[in-house]
Amino acid sequence: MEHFAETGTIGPVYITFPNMTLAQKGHSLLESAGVSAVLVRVPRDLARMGCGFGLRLDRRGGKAAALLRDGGVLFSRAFLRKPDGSFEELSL
Amino acid sequence: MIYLDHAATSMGKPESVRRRVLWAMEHCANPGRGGHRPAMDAAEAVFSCRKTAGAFFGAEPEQVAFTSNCTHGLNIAIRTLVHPGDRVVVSGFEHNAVTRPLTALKAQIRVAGRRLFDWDDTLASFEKALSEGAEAAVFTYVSNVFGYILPVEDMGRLCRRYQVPFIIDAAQAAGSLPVDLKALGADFIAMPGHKGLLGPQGTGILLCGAMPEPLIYGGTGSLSAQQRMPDFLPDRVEAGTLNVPGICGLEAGIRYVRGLTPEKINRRETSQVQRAAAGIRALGLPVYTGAHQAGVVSFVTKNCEETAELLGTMGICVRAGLHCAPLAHESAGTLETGTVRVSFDHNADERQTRALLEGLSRLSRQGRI
Repeated sequence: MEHFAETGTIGPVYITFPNMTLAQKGHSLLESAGVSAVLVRVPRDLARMGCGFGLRLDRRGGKAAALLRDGGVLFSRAFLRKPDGSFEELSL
Repeated sequence: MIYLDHAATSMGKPESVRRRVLWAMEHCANPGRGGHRPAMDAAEAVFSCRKTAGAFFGAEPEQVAFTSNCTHGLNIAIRTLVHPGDRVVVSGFEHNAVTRPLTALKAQIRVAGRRLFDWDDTLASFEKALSEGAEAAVFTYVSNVFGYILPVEDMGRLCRRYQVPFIIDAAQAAGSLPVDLKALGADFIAMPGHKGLLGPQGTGILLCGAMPEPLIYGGTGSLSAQQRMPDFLPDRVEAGTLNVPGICGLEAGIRYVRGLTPEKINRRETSQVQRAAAGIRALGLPVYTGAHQAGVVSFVTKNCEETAELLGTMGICVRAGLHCAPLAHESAGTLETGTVRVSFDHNADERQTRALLEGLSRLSRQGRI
């Protein structure tokens, strides 16, 4: 399980997906484009309908979102984790 | 043992399949549920199979839905496209996996094309039935009884021309003939994982060119706070825990088949079908062969069940009877007798055919067939 307790740094960025399969498809696409991402179970705050999976990236959400869109991989939303541990939704 | 019942299920799975099943049993938890390592390993393994299958069958990974067999996939597809009273065009060679769900739905089944190995008849009859109006079409790629390869590309084209959604039953085609969701333009293509794809029993794939309706409702690991089934693939039709060991074995099977290539497998199977058919015919038995035939051949003896039983005592495994496809037998005129069916796989060779023919020759000399 990925942990989300780290604080004090900006980021990371979380991109959420409707399901595990699309998160995996997005992960595969980003990795092949040289964008490192970690497939994680997203924090409850980001999964409003419960049980969500997503990708955690190191502050390159804009590029990742563009790659996903170009690759036709549907993602739900994107968030920046702030130093205080809260999440801010991003418009990517 | 000479196993010639691969149309029922393949035996002698590749070692890579067995290894992968065992690996999954030792390492995989429930995919898409927890976020711990064994769950993520399972999710990765399942996605890997989706990617492999999708690339092999012209589909996106999420269009690959895992089922427990081909019948399961056909039921999902049929219950998505067909409603009570709908007019549904089928070929004259359908399996009960198609006709029973349609009957249960009280669909108006229009059988089109009953002549074996005759593409002109199949296409002309099929177009006539579509032109008379239909809400859906379902047709097999290969007859499980006679090995007749139907002209599915042209049948699909006709369906699109008449704007009729369609389902292809690829039970006997997957692994030995080209199956491509995008190229065929089907709404759904169902296939087993345990026949030509050499995976374990209890596996199947439904390629989804359209959004299916759920057949089973339950947990998917997504949108858990919502009581409706998710409206995205593949979750919509994958409620409950997946058969991860089976799926891992299935991927190994697909990779194995991909390495051999379906073209070579088909050539190998059909060469033995032709050899077997010639030998059976030489014994004076009615045998069903023709153009467009896959690795399956049927013949008739005075007592098909007894023939299969006697061959079994010689270690030759074939299947007799109606093969769950009474419609196909009705079309061929063998509903009363049934047939003895011989079906080959990627390892088909002359030794197998020779053993079959020697067994039949012995029975013939004894006057038992």
